[in-house]
Amino acid sequence: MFVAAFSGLLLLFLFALSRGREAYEGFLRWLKLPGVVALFAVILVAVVYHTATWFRLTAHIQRIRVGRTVLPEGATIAGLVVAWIVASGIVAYFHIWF
Amino acid sequence: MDEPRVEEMSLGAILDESDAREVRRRERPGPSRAYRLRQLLHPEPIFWALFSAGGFVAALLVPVHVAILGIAFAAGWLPDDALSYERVLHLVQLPLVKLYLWALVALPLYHWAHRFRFAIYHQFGIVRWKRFVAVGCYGTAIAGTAISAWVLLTI
Repeated sequence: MFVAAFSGLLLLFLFALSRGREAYEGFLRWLKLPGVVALFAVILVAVVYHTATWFRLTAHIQRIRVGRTVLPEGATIAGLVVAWIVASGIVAYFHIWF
Repeated sequence: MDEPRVEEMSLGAILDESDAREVRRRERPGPSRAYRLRQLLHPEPIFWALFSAGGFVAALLVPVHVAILGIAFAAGWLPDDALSYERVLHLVQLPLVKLYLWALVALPLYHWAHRFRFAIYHQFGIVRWKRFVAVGCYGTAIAGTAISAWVLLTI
């Protein structure tokens, strides 16, 4: 539900961008309204929860074998968390500083 | 009765005996043409794959976007020009970024569609109008995919 809400908000962001500077800057002002920030905060909590459950599920389904030993689920989850941090870092770099 | 020991049998006798013991596979009629065609047209596996891809995008990439766009920007933690019109427009006009944003918008919609469709059955207990629910869920995702493609192409 919340993931789809973010898709919708991102779509609105892109739509505003496609309508020119005025529409885009209006959207940025809308993003600063307290109600909107609260909505994003709720979405963020839900999405991070989704990330946690998804990683746990993935580690449960996808057993990784190295030679004869099967990696424990914890190691798979750790790998996914590292991938998550790296991906987030790359996105943040492009989003903010590129 | 004692069976002859293998070492005492000739090769021909061994092969004959092995043939005699073989259990032949029973011929079964394969699935009918109509059934196979239905399987081919059945989109369930495609939606499963999109659900999975959307789940991964949602888990791996969406949190940081929500944090930047929804929280960090409003809180004033970003550099002043991070979301300036010129910068964002320049970034979004890059073809690879467009492709990325298309996936970022569309794939989670399929994740939602698949999840929500089954939530309607299992969690809300609404078991009627199955086809209507499925068409509504996947239709929304497909519409979102088309709209996002169109919006990105007009930028």
